[in-house]
Amino acid sequence: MQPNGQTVNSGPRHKMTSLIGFIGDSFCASYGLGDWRAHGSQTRQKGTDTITYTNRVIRHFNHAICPYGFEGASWWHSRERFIQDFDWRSKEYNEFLALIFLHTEHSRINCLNNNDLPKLGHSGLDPGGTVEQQQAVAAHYRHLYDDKFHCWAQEQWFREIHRRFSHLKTIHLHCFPDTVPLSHLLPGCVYTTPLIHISVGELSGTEIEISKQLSRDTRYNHMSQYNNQVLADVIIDAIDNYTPGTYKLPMEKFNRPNANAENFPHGTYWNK
Amino acid sequence: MKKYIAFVGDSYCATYEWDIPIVKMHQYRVNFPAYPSITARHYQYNIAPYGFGGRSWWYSWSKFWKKWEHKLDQIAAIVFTHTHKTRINSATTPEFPLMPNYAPSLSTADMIKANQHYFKYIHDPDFQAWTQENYFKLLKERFEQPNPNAAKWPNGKFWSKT
Repeated sequence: MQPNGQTVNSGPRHKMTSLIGFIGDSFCASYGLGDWRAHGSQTRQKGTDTITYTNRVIRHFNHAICPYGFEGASWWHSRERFIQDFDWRSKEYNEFLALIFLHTEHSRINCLNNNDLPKLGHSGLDPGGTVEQQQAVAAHYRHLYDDKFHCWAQEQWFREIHRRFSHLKTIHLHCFPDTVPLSHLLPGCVYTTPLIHISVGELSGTEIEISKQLSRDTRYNHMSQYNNQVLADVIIDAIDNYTPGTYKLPMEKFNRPNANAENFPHGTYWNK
Repeated sequence: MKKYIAFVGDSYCATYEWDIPIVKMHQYRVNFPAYPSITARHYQYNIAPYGFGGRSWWYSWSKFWKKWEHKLDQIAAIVFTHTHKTRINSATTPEFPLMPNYAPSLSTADMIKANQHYFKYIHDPDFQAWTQENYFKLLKERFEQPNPNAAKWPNGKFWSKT
């Protein structure tokens, strides 16, 4: 029983269910063979080994994956794809063993109309799109982007997650530090250590070198194979021994040679 | 202390008589009777004017909330005129056009272009509808009284159980 009085799936219930959902941005956009969903903002791992944490989690439970992680996407983009698919098919969310949310920055463009636009709103990515689309995005941030509104909107998304999915096992990971203060709005297991601190922790170089590596990242889910494995173990444990609450990630278990990574993005996060 | 009646919304509550000290951009002052002023006079309240012509719900609400969040005890009533969900939810600058096909006179050419590009490429009607729905939920949570008869105190049936 959760503090709000709602029950959650527990114990052997996952034997009856069939799906594990990943909803978020590029931190959950890489999947294993057989998990491929034909979308330009997702990556399939090369080779047959279980490299990605997403792949490892579903293999562990022998369940099907629902991949709603999209590179450069806003929370709205991923939410819409996820909710529209399942509401449209009239599927019950109770089919899910667990929903794993990777919460991204609130500043990305909240739009589903055009698959390129989410990337256009992300300064680190190759923008793609037409010149006019790039101008539209630049003008959006120059004139009409209201940070308080987009922060408020993401807060409403967190409240909606609580209203709609509290009866399921939900695992929450923050990709960046800016959503961490809203953790109290979320149901389930919430990890308050931003994943970017693991990602940057693997990198070395000057500030510019690290920024380049991040924007042209070839790692699956922005992490090494080793750290994908550690994160998979954390998620598997969270699902198996589901106890809602707020937790830190076991950072000592991750391989992070860059000791300055936790200063990202406001301090000295480079190590040269 | 004389209390306030607030008007929060778009041009449907942006016109006042001479009973407000200043009019801001997107507000209008007239010499003929306007319902916000008539209502305020009826109850002997001051007006807190947050109706702005051509603006979005976020524009009006965020300006109202910024000023009054910690002084709600001075507000006797709030009248909302809920505008169309398509308007751009931004309060960055009053000169920026928030509607399609309409621009304030002080909008720059770059702002007008940005507005056109927004409605061509970025505008997502479902997102706009979802945020307005959540705004309504916020209003309900924040202002709904558990006892709907409270306003009848002390001269009417102010209790909720018989």
